[in-house]
Amino acid sequence: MNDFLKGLWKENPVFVQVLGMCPVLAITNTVMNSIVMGLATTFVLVSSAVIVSATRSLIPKQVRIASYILIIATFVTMSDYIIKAVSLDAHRSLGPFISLIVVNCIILGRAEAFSSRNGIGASVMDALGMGAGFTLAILMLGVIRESLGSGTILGMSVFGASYEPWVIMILPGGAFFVLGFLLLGINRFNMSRG
Amino acid sequence: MTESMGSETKTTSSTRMILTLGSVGLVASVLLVVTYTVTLPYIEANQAAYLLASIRDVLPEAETNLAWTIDGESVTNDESGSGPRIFAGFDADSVLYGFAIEAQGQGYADVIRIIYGYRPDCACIIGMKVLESRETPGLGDKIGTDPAFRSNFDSLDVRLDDGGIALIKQVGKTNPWEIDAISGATISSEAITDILNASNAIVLPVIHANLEILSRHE
Repeated sequence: MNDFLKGLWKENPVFVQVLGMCPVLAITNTVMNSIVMGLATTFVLVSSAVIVSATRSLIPKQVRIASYILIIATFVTMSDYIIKAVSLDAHRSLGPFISLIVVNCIILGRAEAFSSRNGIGASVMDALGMGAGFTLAILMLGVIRESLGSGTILGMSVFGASYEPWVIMILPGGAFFVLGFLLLGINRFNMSRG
Repeated sequence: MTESMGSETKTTSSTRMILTLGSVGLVASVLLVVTYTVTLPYIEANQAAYLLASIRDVLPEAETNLAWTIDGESVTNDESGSGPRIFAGFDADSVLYGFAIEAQGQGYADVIRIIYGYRPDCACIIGMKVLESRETPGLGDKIGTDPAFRSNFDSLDVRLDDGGIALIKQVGKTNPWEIDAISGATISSEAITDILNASNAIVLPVIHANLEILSRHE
């Protein structure tokens, strides 16, 4: 259980490890994008954790990274097809960032640091925790950026028709501002407690 | 790697490495083929539904449509044509109502793909929808979402004798062949104007020359 919980807060992949910044900054301009990206990344994390953990005694050390990349790329391509089959709109708005999950270092990082050294059960809990922590983090960015930048959440108006959208928030610059302030807040909170 | 390592261990180890990577690759390709085969019908259905919905958007009164491809001066209804695709839309009485025309061109960020509705009897555009664009969110992407900009295309005069569509900035349009630009997104507005003018110059003469073939509903 601790393997799961640490990903949510104490070792949150975005706020504490600061990994996988490319999707965090690029696609959090709407809540929907954050949800789809979070789910896809969690799917890839969990599936590759199972395979990497199950084959950890079979794969020689020298080719482990190549094998992990191959395993991860397979699951990413699978999730790419699945998203396309479920919703073309979601696929269109995420564009190339689905394929780029391959190079998200959270996934290779967990495969190398955890799944290749632990049993399947623990690896799955770890992957689920990291996936949930990642989803939670990009969801926070998505909610802040979409509500301020477009005045909506999941396409529904939150501030009423008179709200003048804060366009910078859905542009790339806004992602850096929001992430910076979130990191500031979280680090302050953690320091004040510890 | 150290010198003391025997050549025998090296050989076994590289065989094992090749075998490992080979089997991982094999399993991966099987998984991918299975996923591809399972999801393909859903993906194709989604794409067909999206295209149909887009044609409905730009030709609201068309009940059925036939796909054609522009090939030089003529039109073909197989896949051999090299030019843009057009869809002849027919109303409930199977009378030709208008055409949905696919077009694309360079925008501010990347290629913009659009589809627009054209009626040959008034030589006018009656609707425009952005199919794909990577324009700046909040500024350039308004070409697809801004109701005021889209209303430019409810009835846009595109007779070929008067030099095409003109983009008007700030002062507001006064003539039926003009488009009001989005303020803050001039380049994207210009891109749409250019795409429409370029596409009209190629497609409209072919449509009018082949109107008889295209009007047949079979």
